[in-house]
Amino acid sequence: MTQGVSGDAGPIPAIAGVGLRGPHQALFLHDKPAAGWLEAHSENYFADDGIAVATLERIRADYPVSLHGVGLSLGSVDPLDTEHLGKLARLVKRIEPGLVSEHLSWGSVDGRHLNDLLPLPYTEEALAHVALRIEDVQNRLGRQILVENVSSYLEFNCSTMTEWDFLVEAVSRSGARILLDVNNIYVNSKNHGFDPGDYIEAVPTALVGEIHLAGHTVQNFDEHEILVDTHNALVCEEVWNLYDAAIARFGRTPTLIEWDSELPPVETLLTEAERAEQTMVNCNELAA
Amino acid sequence: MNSLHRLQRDCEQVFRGAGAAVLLPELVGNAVPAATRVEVYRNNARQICRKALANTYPVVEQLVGGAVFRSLALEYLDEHPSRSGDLQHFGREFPATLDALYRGSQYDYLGDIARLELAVEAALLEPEAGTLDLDALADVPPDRLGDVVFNPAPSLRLVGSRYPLLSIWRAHQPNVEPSVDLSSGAEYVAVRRVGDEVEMRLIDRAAFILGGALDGGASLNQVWDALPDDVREILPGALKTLSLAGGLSHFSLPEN
Repeated sequence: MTQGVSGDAGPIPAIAGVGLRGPHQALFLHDKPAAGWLEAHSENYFADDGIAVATLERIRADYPVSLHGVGLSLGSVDPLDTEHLGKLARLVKRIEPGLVSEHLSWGSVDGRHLNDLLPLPYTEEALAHVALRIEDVQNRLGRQILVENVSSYLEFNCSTMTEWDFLVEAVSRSGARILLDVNNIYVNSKNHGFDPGDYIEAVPTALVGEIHLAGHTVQNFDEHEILVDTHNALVCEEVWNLYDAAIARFGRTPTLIEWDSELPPVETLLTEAERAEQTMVNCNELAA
Repeated sequence: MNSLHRLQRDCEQVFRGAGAAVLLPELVGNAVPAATRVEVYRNNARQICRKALANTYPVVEQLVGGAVFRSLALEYLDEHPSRSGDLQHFGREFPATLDALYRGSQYDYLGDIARLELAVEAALLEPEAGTLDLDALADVPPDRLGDVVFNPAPSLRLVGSRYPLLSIWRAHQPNVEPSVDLSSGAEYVAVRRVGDEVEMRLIDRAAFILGGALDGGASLNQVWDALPDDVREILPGALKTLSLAGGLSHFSLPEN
């Protein structure tokens, strides 16, 4: 079973948690369902005087909370958005999250934002650029961050290394750690044709600070099937199998069930979290 | 411009809908052609924009229907590309876009409904404030009353329309039968944060005009000069209405 409300709203425990989304906030605030920890999207709480951040502060008193950003555009060639970073820094100071994470992607150029998590070319130029940016963000926040691998639907001819080598090198150079999204690995393996097990095996165990699990959908574009990371469905069996392999390699790791659209009742998220928790229990028993 | 910058610029333009020819040679093509892969990102760009606008303007979406709303979102995205990694304020120009498209048509009121929905979202982002008790004005020397500066509540937003906009908004909430008489006349609404909720109250035209005049930190004398005659005649009543709607948080009296 997923552990209940811990009463210790400090560091993120190595158990399963669920994403905190607007329609579920009142439930977590008042009914306090049993969830190991919660993850909130940073940008939703940027208004210092708004209702949202005050609510998160109250929820934080009962649950460990991590902050997960979607808009910092770490890989963009645009200058780091100091206003955005300033808001994040204030939020981090106020909420004192157990973990802070962002994505290994870009989303803006020349001041125009697509507000998407776009893939980088896996080149030395991009690597040097993004590693410096991650380091800069950590310096400004005064703490280490986790960087998440993103789902992608295209690759660039100019890439000179694998996605996993790029990810590992980016966090190694910057002193960050990895938020490993197992669903994204699976989605990319299907979209680009690689063995997802190779990805898991290539990631050093000490670098992984958190795991994400989510649902995706198979969509048809011009009669071709592409897996799209939609966060609107149950975790599929293939991703659960890959998660088994990940836990076997990395051991107990804070694991988040992400669900962002067509949001189901909280019970559905908690049931998924229980399955993740059971995977970690089984892994411990096998290791014993 | 380095190669990473050039690649990101090409991607951005193509994902927004420009011809893909400039980008295709840069992309890996295999079982799924590169042009098809580009289409996923184009679709994402449209979806992200539509969802952001729908979050702020659910009643407008209901009024025009999903298909028209998607088309409006595309038009808006072309005119107002996002300038921030935070989508919170992405849709703030949407009411003006609706005005430009629908003023004078049977959907003349859409821009006003959008302004009301934007006011609700804006109030959620502001602090709650105390409510001014007008009896406190009794302590102000009569010869200084004209120097008083009233401070509207930080979350207060005033929205007015020649249409019954609050009635329209209420008729399009969940589990409500959408029935409203568009010819029933103008409505003026005071929107403000109360605790964890947003409160919307109907106010009269005089209070609406007075609230707008107070917004810039003007003294009561300056406000008086700016008001139309018919509002001056009922100023105490308008002030009381605005206060009862929670629209005033406090007042100050500058030193002589």
